[in-house]
Amino acid sequence: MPTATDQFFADLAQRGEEPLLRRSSGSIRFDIGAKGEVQRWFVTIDHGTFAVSRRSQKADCSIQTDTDVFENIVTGKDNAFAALLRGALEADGDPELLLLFQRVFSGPLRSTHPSAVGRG
Amino acid sequence: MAEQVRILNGNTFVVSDERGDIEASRTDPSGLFAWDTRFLSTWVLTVDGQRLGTLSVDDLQYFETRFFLAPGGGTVYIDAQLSVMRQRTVTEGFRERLAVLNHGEKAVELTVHMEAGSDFSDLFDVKNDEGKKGELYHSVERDRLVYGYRRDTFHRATEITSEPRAKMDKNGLTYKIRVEPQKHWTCELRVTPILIGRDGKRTRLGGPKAAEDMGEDLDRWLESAPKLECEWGPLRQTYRRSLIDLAALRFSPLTSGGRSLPAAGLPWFMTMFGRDSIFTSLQALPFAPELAATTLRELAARQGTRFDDFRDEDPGRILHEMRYGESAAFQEQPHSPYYGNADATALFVVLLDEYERWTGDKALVRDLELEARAALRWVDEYADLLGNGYVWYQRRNEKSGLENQCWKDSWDSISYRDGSLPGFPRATCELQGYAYDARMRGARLARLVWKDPDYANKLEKQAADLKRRFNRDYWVADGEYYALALDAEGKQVDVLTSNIGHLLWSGIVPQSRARAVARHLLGPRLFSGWGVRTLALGEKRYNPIGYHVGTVWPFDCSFIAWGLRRYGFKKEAAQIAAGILDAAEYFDGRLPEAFGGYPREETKYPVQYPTACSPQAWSTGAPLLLLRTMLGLQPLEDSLVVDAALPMGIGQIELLGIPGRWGRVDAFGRGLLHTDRQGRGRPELGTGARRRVKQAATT
Repeated sequence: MPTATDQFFADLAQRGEEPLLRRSSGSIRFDIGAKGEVQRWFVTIDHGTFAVSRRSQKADCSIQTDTDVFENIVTGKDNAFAALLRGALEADGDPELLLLFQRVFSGPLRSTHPSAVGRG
Repeated sequence: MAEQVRILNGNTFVVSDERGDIEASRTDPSGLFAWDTRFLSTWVLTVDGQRLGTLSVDDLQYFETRFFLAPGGGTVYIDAQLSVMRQRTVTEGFRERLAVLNHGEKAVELTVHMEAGSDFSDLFDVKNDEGKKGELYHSVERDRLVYGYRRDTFHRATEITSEPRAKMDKNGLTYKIRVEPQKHWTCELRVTPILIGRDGKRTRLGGPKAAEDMGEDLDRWLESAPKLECEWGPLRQTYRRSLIDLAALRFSPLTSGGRSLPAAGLPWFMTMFGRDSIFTSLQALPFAPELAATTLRELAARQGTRFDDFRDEDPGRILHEMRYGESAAFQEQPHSPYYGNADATALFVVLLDEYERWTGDKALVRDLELEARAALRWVDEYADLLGNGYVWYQRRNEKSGLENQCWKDSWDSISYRDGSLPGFPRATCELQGYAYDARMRGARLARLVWKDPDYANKLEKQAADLKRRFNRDYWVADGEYYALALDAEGKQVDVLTSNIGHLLWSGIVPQSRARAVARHLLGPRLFSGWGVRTLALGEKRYNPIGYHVGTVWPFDCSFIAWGLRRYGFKKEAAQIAAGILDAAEYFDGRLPEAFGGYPREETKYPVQYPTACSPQAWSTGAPLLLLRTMLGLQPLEDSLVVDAALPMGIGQIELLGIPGRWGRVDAFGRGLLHTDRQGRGRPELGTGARRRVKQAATT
C-alpha cells in the first residue's frame, strides 16, 4: 500500500497547473528518511506546472526530513513552517520556493469554519 | 529595572541597562534577542570584581551605542584614574569593543571579567513566564564559549569569541591585564546566535547587514526621503525622528531577498504583522513607497490557502502575526503564521490600490491578481460567518487565538452603552468600511489592470449593496453616529467610538451623514484636544487610561484625519493633525502607541500610556500621514495634487522631492487655519498655549 508521501507525489505529478505557483519556477529536491534509507523526489515547477521524478541532482532548494515528519505534513497533522523552525525539516538554497510550495499541502482534515464543515 | 538601552538590526536586538549590562530574569525583557529567542540573558562587566558606574551613554545609531563607564557605583566615589568604554554594535548578534583606559601615573594590573549566560527564552516565555522544556548546556571549544539549548530537533546556540583570547569557563570570560600609565587595553568580543540543524550543521542567524553597511544604508534611506522645510521647528524634529525610527523598524523576512517591510514595534513586535505592516506602509507611501511593495509581496506569499482552526487560517486570509521562536516551532503558539484578524485581508487590497495610485507599478498589481481576488473572496464569503453580507469574526482556536480580531483587540474594547460585552461572532463597523473600500478599489484595479470589467461591476454592485445595508443597520438614530458593531442577533453595539473616523476614510458614509460624524469626532465627547478618544467620554467603560476604551492613539487619529479630508473637512483634519503633532513634541518627536484621553485643558501635556513597546511602527507613521493629509496630497493619474490646509502656527512648509509616478515633485503650503481655541500667541499648533515643560526643540 502506498504511503501518504507516495500518494502526495503521485497526485502532484497529475495535478494540473497550480495557479498559486504560476509565478514560480525552479526545482525542489526532497530527501525523506533517515540516513541510509533516504527516499528521493525531485520536483520541478514551471510556472505552476509540476514534474516529479526520482532523479538525484542539484536543486534550487533541497529539503531533508524524516519519514514520519513529512507524512504528518502532507496529511495536515503538522505544519511545514513549524517543522522548519523545529529543525525537524531542513531547507537549503532558496527558502522562498519552499514557502510558496507549502501552499499545496492540505490543511487539517477537520475544521469548524462554516464553509469547511462537512468537508473531507 | 534601570533605564533601558535598546539597539537593533532587523529582528536582532539588544536590551541592556545604562551600564551596558544584561541581567535578565525570567520575565525581564533584557538580553540579546534574535528571531524571537533570547540568546544572551547575562552579560555583566566587572573590573577587579567591581561593577561599573555610568558616566554617559551615546546612542550613535539605532544599531550602535557607546557606554562610558568608571569603576564604582555611579552615585558614590568614582575612581577617576580608570575609565572603561564599551561600544556595542548589533550585527548578526553583536560585537562589543571594550577599552580600559589608565589615566593614572602608575601601571595597573587588573582582572576584567565578563559574566555570561543564556536561558534561551522564547519571547513568549518572557511575556508569560513559561518554564523551559528542553536541556541547556555550555561548552568551551578551542577559542569559543558556547551556550546551547536542545529540545528534540530544536537546537539553538550562542557562540562567544574574543580577540585577544580570554580565559573561558561556563560563567564567562576573564582577562588578566596590565595597563601602563596613560595607555589603554582593548579587546573585541563577538556574540553570535546559531541555529544547529539535523546533522549538526551550523547556520548563523541574525541581521542581514554588516555594521559598516548599516551606516551607509541609513544615510541612503534618509537621503531618498523627501526633505521637509518648516518654520515650526518641532515638526522638523518629529519628521526626522519618524524617518530614523521607520528605518530601524524595517524587517527583512528570509524570503524577501533583502527587501524590507515595516515590523510592528520594538522590542516585542519586531516581526511581520498583517495589520500593522499594512497601516504603516499606507502612512509611509508618499515617503518610502518601496515598503508597501515588500509588504504586499510578502503577505501575498503567506496568504492562507486552507482551513486550519489552530491558526485561524482560511483560504485568501492575510496573516496576522508571524513568529520564529520555540513556541511557534512546537505549535504551543499558533504563529507559524497566525491568521486571526478580520481587517488585514481587505486592507491588503486597499494598500495594493493605493500603492498603484502613487507609483503606477501595474506589474505588481498584475502579479498579485490572484491573491487580491482570493482576498476579496475571503471578505465576501469566508468572513461572512452568518451569511448576511457582513464581515464577522469569531476565533476557532479557543485556546490561544485572539478574541477580538479588529485593531482594538483588548478584551473589553467592544461593549454596549451599559458596559456589557456582546457575544460572538462580532461585526465591528470599521471592518465593513474596509470591505466596502476594498471592493471599490478592487473594481478600479479589475478595470484598469486585470481587464475584467464584469468582475469590476460585480464588486461595485456588492459595495453599493453593502453601503445601503450598512447605513440601515449600523446608524444609531438617537445619537447620529454609527454603532461600534453588530452582535450575532443583529443588535447594535451602540457606544460612540473613534471607529466612525475610519468609516470616513473608507468612504462608506453618505455625504448627508458625514457632517454629523465629523461633528462627533471633533466634539467634546471624542476629541480630547490632542486627538480622538478610542471610546467617548460618558460611555460606561470609558477610562482615560484604558487601552482601547478612552486613550488616544496617534495612528487612529492619522487615519481619521485622512477620512475627514476625504469628505472635505479640511479644518477638522488640520485640528486633529495639530493636536497630535503638538503631542509629538512632548515625546521628542517619537509618538507613543497611545496616550491618556484626559482633556487637554486639564493635564496640559499628554499622559503616556504605560507600554513596553516604543517605537511603534504605526505611531511612527502617524506624523507622515498627517503631513500628507495637511498638504492635501492626492495622486491624480500622473500628477500629484497639492491642496494644503494647515494650522496657522506651522508657518511656511515645504516638502521637497515627493516620489511617485510623476518622478519627484515638491509641495508647498502655509498655515492659515485657526485651530486654536484660546487664540493667543502660539508656539503650539493646537491650542496656542506656550510650552511649560521646555522650549521648542530645534534641529
